Amino acid sequence: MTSERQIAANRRNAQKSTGPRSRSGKRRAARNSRKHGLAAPISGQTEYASLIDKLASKISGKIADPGIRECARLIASAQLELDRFRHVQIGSIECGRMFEPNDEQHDEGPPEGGHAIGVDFVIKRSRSFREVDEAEAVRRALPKLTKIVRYERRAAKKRDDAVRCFFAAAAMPKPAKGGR
Amino acid sequence: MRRVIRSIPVLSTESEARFDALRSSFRNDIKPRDTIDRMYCDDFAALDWEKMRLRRAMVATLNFEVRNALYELLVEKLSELERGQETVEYLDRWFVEEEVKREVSEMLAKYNLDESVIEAEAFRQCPRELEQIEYLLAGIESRRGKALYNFTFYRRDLAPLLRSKAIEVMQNDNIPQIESKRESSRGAE
Repeated sequence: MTSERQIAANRRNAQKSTGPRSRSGKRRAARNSRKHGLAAPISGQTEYASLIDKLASKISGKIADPGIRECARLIASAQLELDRFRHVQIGSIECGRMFEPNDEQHDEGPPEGGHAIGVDFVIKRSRSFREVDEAEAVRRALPKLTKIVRYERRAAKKRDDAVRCFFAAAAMPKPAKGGR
Repeated sequence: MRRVIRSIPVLSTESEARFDALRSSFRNDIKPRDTIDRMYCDDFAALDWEKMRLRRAMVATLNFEVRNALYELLVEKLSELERGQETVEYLDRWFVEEEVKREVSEMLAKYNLDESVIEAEAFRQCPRELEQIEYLLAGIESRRGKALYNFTFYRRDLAPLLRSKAIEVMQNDNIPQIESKRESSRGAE
């Protein structure tokens, strides 16, 4: 059981650990729990703001209705998120090709005398060595790809919902001005 | 930033021209009227492209496992061959020599098995990878279905066309076959 003295000491010590004080320290600490950033909506990121605005105004065209314009913004931000995830997917596969070491299954490879005949044969029978290389890179990236797909699905749903809202709002008859 | 985000989603090993052709064929069929149409149109093309990529990866993964499957079957399971480097070299010749192929078929026939068991064993060798690929493919199918459903809300005329387009894309692409299947289909010819 914790004694009164210990509790008081803990409280005193806690006063000394108040976290970062400088602005840069606070900024850094704000990212402590960040893992990959895929869950963060891009609508809150300044570098995407102009892209969202541009795409949203393309979608809504000359319509001035604020509700419809808001729907267009939602569509634009979800679509850009989807594009970003697609880009992350490509990056994960390419990174797997360039940086990750071969695993034990395919690492027996050709140390001196080239591949064994069987592997060579499979490579030759594929349309190109590139295809085998690509398949291997995809295989290595599979755990990452299965994680990304969850976020991708969420963004796609967001976009589809926003598109439905957009068309529902656009089809809704507007109240006459000055009417009761 | 713009260039990065809106760039064509292809790998460095894939052909941008082929992706462009696929996207153009979708655009020609759908004839997008506005930005939302174009967005969906490009999405359908990108999803089909990803699907083809995963299917290529699946077949290549299985083809790599054919070699392991041969060894596992004939040495470890049926004990038809002795363990060792000589057997590995002998089994490697299965890929190129008709004689070895015939001998392996005879060994399998003793147990009422044929070459399809090699493919089955190859499947058994990489269940985790295949499961993940299947999961991704199912995800793509589901996303495509939902996008299509949404799209038909305001482009009712296009739903049947898009469905047939998906089948056409998958049939036209000459996706490589699993090694043992390719051999048997060649034999049938």
